[in-house]
Amino acid sequence: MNVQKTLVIVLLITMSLSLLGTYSSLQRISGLKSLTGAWENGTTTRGSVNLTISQLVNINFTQDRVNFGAGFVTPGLAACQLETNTANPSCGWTYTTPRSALTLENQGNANVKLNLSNLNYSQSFIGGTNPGYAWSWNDPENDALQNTCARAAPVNVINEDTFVNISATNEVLNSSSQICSMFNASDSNDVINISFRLLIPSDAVAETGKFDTWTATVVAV
Amino acid sequence: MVIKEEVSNHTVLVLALLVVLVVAGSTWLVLNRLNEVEQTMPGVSVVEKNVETRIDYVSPEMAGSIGLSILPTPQEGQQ
Repeated sequence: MNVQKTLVIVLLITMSLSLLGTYSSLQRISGLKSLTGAWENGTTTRGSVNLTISQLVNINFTQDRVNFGAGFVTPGLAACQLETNTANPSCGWTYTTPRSALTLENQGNANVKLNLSNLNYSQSFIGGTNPGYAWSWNDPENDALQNTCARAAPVNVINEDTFVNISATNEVLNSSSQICSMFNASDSNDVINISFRLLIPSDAVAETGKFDTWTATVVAV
Repeated sequence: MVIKEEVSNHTVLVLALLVVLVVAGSTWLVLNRLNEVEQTMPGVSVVEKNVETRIDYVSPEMAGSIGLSILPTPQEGQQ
């Protein structure tokens, strides 16, 4: 009887140890969040990545030159009119394919205010009697949306696709001529074409290498 | 003929003690292994990564040009 009692006690101890060991093992294993080694017992590891994209103001004339080439007004005509994106008028100039307009693109990531300026006007650029030097602008991308060039006051009121003559008495373009109050940076609405129409009178003085420079200046909105 | 052998209480007691030793040893081994796992865990570290995309080149002004040449009108009779 004494031996049996001892046996019962020993078995109880065995069961207790087994249960205790199992419980302890379970407690330890539950502390492991996963096999990645991460713990969740109050010492959470956190990583962070900071990304800063700087504002970039960057414009570019992707078509930076309009060259009508050489010619003279066909004798007998009073003048010859040259125009970008238009076929040769057959009045004395020899180019065969239409001349492309200047193309200005906002290649940055910031919407900007756009100012345009140039150096000459009709008389200083072409000369002769009643010369013509006109320009216009349009937005070829998604034109219907009219999102490329917002024109709020005090922007000069120069409507799209409307030629404006640059004469001595109508110097539209100067350093303060803001064309767009917001020139869009969106890739689908960030291009402006600047077109030209020249009227060369028959008495314009012959000269090679006549040129005018157009400067686009922008500041971030 | 059936041979019936009786196991003595003493033998049972010895076996029970063996069970106790085996269970205790097993438990100790498991706990010891878990402790080793804990010690080989990677240390806690905070990763702070700053990635800054900065483009220094800014072009707020660009120029284009328009040009032509006006040639002398050929004299009458010239080709």
